[in-house]
Amino acid sequence: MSGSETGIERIGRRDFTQAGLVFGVGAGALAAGYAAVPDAFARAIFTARRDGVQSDAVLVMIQLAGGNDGLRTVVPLQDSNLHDLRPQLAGEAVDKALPLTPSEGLNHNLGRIRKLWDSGKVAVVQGVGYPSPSLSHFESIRVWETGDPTRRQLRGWLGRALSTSYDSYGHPLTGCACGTTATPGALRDADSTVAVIENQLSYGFAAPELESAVGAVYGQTPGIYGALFDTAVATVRKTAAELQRALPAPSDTSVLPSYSNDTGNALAQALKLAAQLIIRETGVRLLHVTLDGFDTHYTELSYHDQLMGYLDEAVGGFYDELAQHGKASRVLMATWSEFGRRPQENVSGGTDHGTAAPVVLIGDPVKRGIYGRPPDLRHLDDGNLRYTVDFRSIYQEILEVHLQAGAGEILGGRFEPVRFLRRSS
Amino acid sequence: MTGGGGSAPRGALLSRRTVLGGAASAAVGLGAVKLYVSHPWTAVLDPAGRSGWPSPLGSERARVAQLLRRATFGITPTALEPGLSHGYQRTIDSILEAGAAEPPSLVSPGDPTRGARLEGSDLQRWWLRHILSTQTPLAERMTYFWHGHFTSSLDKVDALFMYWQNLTWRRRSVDKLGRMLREVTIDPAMLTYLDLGTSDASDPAQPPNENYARELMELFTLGAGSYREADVKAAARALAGWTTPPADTQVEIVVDEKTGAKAPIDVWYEQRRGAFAPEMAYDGAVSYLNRRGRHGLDGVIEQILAHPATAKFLARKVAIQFISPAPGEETVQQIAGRFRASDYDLGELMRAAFTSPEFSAAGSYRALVKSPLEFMVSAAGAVRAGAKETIELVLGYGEGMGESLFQPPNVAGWPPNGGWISPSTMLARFNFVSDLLDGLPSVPSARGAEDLHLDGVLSNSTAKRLAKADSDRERWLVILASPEFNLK
Repeated sequence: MSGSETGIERIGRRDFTQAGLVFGVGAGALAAGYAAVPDAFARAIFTARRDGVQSDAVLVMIQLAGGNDGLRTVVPLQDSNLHDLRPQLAGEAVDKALPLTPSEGLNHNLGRIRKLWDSGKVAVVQGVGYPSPSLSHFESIRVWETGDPTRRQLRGWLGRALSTSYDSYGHPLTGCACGTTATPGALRDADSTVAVIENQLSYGFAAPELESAVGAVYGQTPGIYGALFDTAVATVRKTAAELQRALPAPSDTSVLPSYSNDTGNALAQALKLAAQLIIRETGVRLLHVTLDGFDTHYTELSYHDQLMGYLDEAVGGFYDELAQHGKASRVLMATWSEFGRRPQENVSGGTDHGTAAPVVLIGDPVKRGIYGRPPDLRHLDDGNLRYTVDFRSIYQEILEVHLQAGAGEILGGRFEPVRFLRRSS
Repeated sequence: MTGGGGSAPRGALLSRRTVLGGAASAAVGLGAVKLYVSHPWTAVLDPAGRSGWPSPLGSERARVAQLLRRATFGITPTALEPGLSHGYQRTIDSILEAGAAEPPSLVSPGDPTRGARLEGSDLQRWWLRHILSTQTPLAERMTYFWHGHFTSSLDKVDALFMYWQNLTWRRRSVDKLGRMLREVTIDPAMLTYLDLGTSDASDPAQPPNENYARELMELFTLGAGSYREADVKAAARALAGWTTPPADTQVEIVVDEKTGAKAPIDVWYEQRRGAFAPEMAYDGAVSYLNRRGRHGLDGVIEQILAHPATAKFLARKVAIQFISPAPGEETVQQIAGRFRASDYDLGELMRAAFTSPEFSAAGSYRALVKSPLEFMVSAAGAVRAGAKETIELVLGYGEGMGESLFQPPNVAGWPPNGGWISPSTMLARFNFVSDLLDGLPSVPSARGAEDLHLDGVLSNSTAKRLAKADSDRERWLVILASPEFNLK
């Protein structure tokens, strides 16, 4: 649907809020005013609003939280500047790297992802960032989450995708964050509902009368948090019912994937749940998972290798699980991180906050290759890498080609294309 | 707005009539409903078609109750009654002037390792026990605030250092900011968590670690946008040289129960601060926040306190957590002004917040979301659950609600208010209530509970459902699980 229609709907809402003010002030009968809210204006949860995406493509955004060191993820193999800048960190990274091309290799702990590369299912986009980069975690996370380097946008880019293109699914699990208790900023939007499932095993009401009581209490909650509360409660009730319908009993561990029993690997735990949701056709489309710990200011060597190992185990196991159930062709994984790290290492054997870094895309929809330009370690801006690909070019390709959603409307503009996905002929 | 279905107990100070009357004035509050984010990570709120809660804050009782919900860990009849007889202003004075009761030492006198082998769960239980029993609740509330502000985490730091840091937050909870900043910077937990203890600026060819220097400005004092990248680099140089304190001795302990193998571990006789190692410090002048000099720790703090952004940044943060998620600019300016004029006295900061007109304005009523800890402690207090049971429930449910004590999600601490609300966290809150009630030896009478805990201000749906409840357990379930009780 067109962008102008969305605009009209938003203006309509704002008008109503103002009209409500007029009623309220004069009448004093706030209760009556509230009850008189026309249904068309009331927040409609799970109701169809317009036609949306018809495809069953699934996107899994994997957040590498804390600022992932791009130069230790996709390692430049023949750039002597790296050794000058990183006397402690470069040697081992280069020596052990798993070559993709003569000049680029994956971190040595990314063996399963390297195998997926061999079978044509990995794309790397180099030098991804945005203009006037912020070195603050939180500012830069917000930029990536909202898709807006000017930091004015409040709604997440996936949240906007949900509300513009998916709401007609009328499904609580269309947008879903696994392995966390908080709604990720990328999925956040006042107009969309998002499931948040930390742990499938504890995702249910302790007692039926508890559910019916909160079902009766929440629904028209007043105040600035009213919609947030009511949507959360409606979503949890729908999600719990859907999980109960679709997933095996939690005690039936035989059907759970067995690819990681390392409970320290939170990403693997989250992706196991994600795999279940996809395989059992719960309607998930936009998934978000997180691996934390990338803020490697100190003794990066061991920490970063361990994190790469977690990423590899989780992604590899997830892919295999999907392939085994014939679902891999629908699913695209994309990593993102708020920034890369400083090319020059610091005195603590770590690296400080940086800027541009590679994005890794994995899955059957991918067209194998290394896109963009390799990092230029000789021409740094105040010690940091210059970006060569705008991160929104990646979002655009994902939205347009994989999800078949309206990228222009969601991102608010056109960006230079980077064609890392297969085109269906 | 307010249900006619419930039967208000006779003698309740806030009658249904009062509440209905309040609805008229609350209509004005609708104008305050707006779209905003209170924190980069806080949810976007949807204002469409929502009326505000009618504010009862015209009554002193409701103002005192709101103060106790926000400045302490909840309302009990024993805390409310003195507040009501003293009045709002004197209640503020008395909680601010009560001081900070020291918790009992976590390190037992007979422990030869002096706490060096403490577990994170020991620490969590110890603090919870003190929160539940303290006679100086504001000090604990502020310790909790500083825990979310000057963050460190068990994920990276040993429990003993985290314990010491907790003692520092409490002792300085309403002291001077300058002293707090100095002690927090060279606190062993912080030196570890943000890596300053590993930095070294003695070699000009090797950059020092920037982690603490950046977060000190971005998250602890000035806020993003009030300094340049060059200031991060300058502060990283100026602050280098502080290291975690050397151990006082080493003690041999059994490290493997099976083989009986022993190994020496570091032991400190008492709480220590960081040690200064001049050979790791930067030997020269830097230009920091527009002033060139041989700034060390004291110079850096002096420049931060001279910067006008500091008072405003902290005033806004306090306002967002104690007044409203989107405090007015005038409110922030006024609190910041009093804070700075008091030579950055943290007690004055809080007094300015509690006495600001916006604190008691209709638009601030139920404008804040209880954190998991506040929610659980206040619920357990309402039904008079035992300390031991409460502590285990808080430990068991905290993570599912998004909060494990001493383990903030990252250096920015927990996103407040709307950041606490998600489908997953609400489910955990509901299940907690159910578990809490199931664990009680006997459920206390719920008579008057909606007046004591919810100011008698109930939404239509809550009032209706409460009227249908036919047991005390069910009444408590509705009250504690309600949106009203989740707000403060």
